[in-house]
Amino acid sequence: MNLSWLSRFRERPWLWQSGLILFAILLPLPLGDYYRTVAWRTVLYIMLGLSLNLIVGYAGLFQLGHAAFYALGAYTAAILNLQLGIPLFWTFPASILVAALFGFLITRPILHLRGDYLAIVTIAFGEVVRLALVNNILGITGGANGLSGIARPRLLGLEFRQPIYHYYLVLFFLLITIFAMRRLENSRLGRAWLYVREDETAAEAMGINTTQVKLLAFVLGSGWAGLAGALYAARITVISPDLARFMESVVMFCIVVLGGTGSIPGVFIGALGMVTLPELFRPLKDWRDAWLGVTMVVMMIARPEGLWPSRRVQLELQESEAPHG
Amino acid sequence: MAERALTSERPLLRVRQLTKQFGGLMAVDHVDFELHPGEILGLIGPNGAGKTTIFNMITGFYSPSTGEITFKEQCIARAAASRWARLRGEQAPRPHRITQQGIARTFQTIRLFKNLTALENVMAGLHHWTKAGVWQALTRSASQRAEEASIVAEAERWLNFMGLHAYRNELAKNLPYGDQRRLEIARALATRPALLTLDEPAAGLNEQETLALVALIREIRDTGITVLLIEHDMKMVMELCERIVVVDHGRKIAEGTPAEVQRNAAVIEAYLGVEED
Repeated sequence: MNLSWLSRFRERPWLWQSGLILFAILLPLPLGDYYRTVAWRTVLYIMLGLSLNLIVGYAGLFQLGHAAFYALGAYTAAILNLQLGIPLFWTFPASILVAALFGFLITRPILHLRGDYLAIVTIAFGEVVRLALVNNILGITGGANGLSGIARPRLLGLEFRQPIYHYYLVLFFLLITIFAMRRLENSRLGRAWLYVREDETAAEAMGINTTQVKLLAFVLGSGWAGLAGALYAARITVISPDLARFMESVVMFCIVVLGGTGSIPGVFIGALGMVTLPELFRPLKDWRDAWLGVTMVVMMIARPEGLWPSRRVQLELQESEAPHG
Repeated sequence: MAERALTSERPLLRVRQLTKQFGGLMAVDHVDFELHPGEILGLIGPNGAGKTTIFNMITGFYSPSTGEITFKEQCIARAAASRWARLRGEQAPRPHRITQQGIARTFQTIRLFKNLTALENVMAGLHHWTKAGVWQALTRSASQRAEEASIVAEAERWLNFMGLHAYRNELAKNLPYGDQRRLEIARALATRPALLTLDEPAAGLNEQETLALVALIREIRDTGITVLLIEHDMKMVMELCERIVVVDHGRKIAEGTPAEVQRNAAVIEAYLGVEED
């Protein structure tokens, strides 16, 4: 490997960034519909991972019920489309808002909880949402069977029927997500999340309203998951309460932790490991849960900071070791 | 400075009948004292006397059981009216509000953001003076960029003031111990306080570093900031403070100039009761 090549990439991040984007655009072209769908799922889960990364990675808060907001977004899009006949693309803002609103209502009363206590309560809330959907709440969620017959989205007379259209649709939103995440990371708000994650008490003593800052992470992350849910509804057109399964939340959580908490490239790696690999080795799919369990145990022993950690989380986890180097 | 002269007859901080009970333990028992603008007041007492508890009530980390604290003529802490009010979280301690009103603090055990740089640590203090939110972060508007630049500029000023500029991009945990203490003060100053409260700032410092700190605290006071100091190092307290309040077993036992306090029989007794180093 030529080192000067590497350093050239390091100095000009746009080189590998635009290379990566080009790769993502060309990727589905030689593939068949099945693999295009795998690619679509991967990109969707990267988006979900990034939305959860906002909560778990940046603000350092446990959220093990993230799938609930994903489901809320999907249901909002579906209900608006089925009941009111609103075209799917127009339901996206509503999906984001509903998921964000529930994120606010659900997390506001539990924000003072820390660490594992917060994790337990978020698991419970995720289940509450799932059961509410199963029980056909307000008579509009379709019970255990969910909702079907969602109209395919249209744009400029183009019907989104082929998997490849959906792939480009989620890719478009993923690029927006990455752009937004990077800007948030490097802002006053992003710093506030860092302060809260590093030392909540000290952050409070600095005049930072930690409750508000944490709430904002939850609200933004939940809204983003809602958008992913709407994208799911647009592609699959059939949704069920299974979207809010605890296992879904676990997969999202693992994506963040496996790749490296707080790191955008980490989420990519996490999604490849948690979503793409099990899909590619489909004959072994029954082993997925075992794979998930084994991977997490091995990771926690060998590399608790994840495969591609953010510089800072790495530092936090290596606290007791020698100074940086 | 002119402001200070104008308000000098009114106390900046007034602690009245302040009490804190932890179960059956009276940690602080009806303590009164006042702090005047521009002075350096020392709060001393043997271990476990209740100094840090008083400190935590002033800075909003605990709420008092009874009594009240006023700052700039405004009540900043009062005992919860009833158990019901407390349940509703009415009197839940909100330290960030106290900081926003102009009381900054440091911690007895240093609590820097260890994995952030010295500059980023000081920038934390400026958070509540600035206001860019989600939208400004996403659009990176001209005003947002200007605000970011001003945050960095002011944080750098405080680093310079504390003589820490060489560590600008160094992680806080890699700083020498004495400089970590100074960085904590720089961070507190960045919140632009009227009152700076220091919880044992000389703990763990050698004699030379302590002397430098004394000079620095005087310098801070000369910029118009009032200082409240909790300290174990008697030499430092006697040297630095203009007035001293002594507490023991949660009660105030003496108050006065360093010379007066040193002669006070109750103080001598309290300090001879414990093994002094």
